[in-house]
Amino acid sequence: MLAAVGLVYAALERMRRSPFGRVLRAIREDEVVAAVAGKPVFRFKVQAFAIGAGVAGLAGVLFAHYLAYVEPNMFLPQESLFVWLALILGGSGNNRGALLGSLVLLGLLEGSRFAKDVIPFLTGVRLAAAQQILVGVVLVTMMIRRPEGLLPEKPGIRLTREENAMRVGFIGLGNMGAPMAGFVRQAGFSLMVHDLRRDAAAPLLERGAVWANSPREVAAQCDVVCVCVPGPPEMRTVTLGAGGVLEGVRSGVVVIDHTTNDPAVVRDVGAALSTRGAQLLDAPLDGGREGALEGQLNLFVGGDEAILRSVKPVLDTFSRSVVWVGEARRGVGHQDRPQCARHERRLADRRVHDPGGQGGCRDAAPRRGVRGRMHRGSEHDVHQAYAGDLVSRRLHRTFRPGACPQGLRPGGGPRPSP
Amino acid sequence: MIAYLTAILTLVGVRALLTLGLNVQWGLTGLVNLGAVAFFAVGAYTSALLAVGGVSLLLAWPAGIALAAAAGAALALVALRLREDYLAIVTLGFAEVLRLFLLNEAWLTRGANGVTAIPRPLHAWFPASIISFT
Repeated sequence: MLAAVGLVYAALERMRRSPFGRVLRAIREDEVVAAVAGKPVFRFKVQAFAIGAGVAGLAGVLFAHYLAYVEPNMFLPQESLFVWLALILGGSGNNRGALLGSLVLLGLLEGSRFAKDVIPFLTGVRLAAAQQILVGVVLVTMMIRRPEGLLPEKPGIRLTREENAMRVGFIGLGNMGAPMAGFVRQAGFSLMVHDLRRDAAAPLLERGAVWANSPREVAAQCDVVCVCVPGPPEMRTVTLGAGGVLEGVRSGVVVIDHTTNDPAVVRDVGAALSTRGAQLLDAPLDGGREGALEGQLNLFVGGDEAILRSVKPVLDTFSRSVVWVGEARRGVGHQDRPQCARHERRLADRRVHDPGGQGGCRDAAPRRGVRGRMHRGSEHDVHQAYAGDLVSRRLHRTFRPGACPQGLRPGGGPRPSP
Repeated sequence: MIAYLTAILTLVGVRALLTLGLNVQWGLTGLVNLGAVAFFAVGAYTSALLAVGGVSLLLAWPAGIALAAAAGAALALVALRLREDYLAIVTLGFAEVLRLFLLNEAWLTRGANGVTAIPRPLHAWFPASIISFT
């Protein structure tokens, strides 16, 4: 019997660590993301359920052949609940927890049997009731004191000491920047912020962020500087202008440009920073305001891969995916795929609603760029964002043909294939 | 005393297996199974009935596991097409339906009398002092 438990434990532990187990946990955390990543979610779920049922079947087999007797009322619904209790007690998501939980639960049930000898008035019937009370009390106490169970699942991402010491700066706390910075702070990084309007930073300051008076100050104090400003002119001012990042930057600092940027500006800023020993990563955002609010942005990062790896913990705090697209800083070229689709749809709509108007933006890039798994997911978002705009009639406010997203301008260089 | 401990440990082992099974469903994948006992029963009854009917244990045991897994797959295939909450309800219902089935379909399951004299394969290998508790 114990050998069987050992075997199953070993097998399941192996499964938990395998790619299959990873996918299952991904599905648990967020089904849509797993689906976007190209996993057949439904099939995985059915498989997982069948495996779990099979293990329960094995338990039944052993139980029957151990007792040499089975009858229907051994299988009352409360038995299922006891299994849940054991799992919750031990800590779910974790096989050792499951083992410990069963041991503790049965220890409670069996151990309380001896209480009859110690406590007077306790008859068999009363004892049975008392056992259930005891189990209930233990469960409630657990839920209050230690909801993750006796042996909690180890978190996949944990900040190392170096990461804890990483000081992150955030410049630009607008629609996108403010929620992104919020996620960085929430993850435990020390955060310094700057924006043209100080009141934009108020909620972050309340949560422990530190205010900086200029981009220069941010660059002087931080190891990682995220810049999230409206467009190329602002980017140029914030980095190369008076009181800008370049004036304060030290060697080894990583500047991350989240702006949907003009490749020329990216090149200039990158070159200027490298003269001071700092590095620029180009990481335009996809996912819109909704993505930023949920911490589910898609990032297409251009720049040195090792540098990206060193700052990825920061980016992970507000991203669904962080994709490295190459040494050359042309994240813009990648990002414009979903953006193109969105742009085109708005443009088409604009033409419908505004015949003979000033519509007609020649440089909307072709839709064929939107392909592949990653981009299928993004295109789905595009539909959503577009539908949202239509419903809320934001379209005419948010879209002006003259203000095409910068990434859509031709000349962004050859696009790397996905 | 040692017999008692063996019995307890065996029952802990059975429960541990059940919990491990649920851990795959809920702990790893986030599927709510409120009827774990149903698959437990499928395994127990399948193997017990086959073994009592004279089928080799080498066949009866895998059959129990396979049928439980198949039942799980069938339920999941149907219920998971709907929203996830339905799986919880379906499993809960399935467990009760199965129990009543076992109770009432006496021609197959021997009803409330239960299945007795299920072979105990390792019984002969251990001294009686260890396993004679039950």
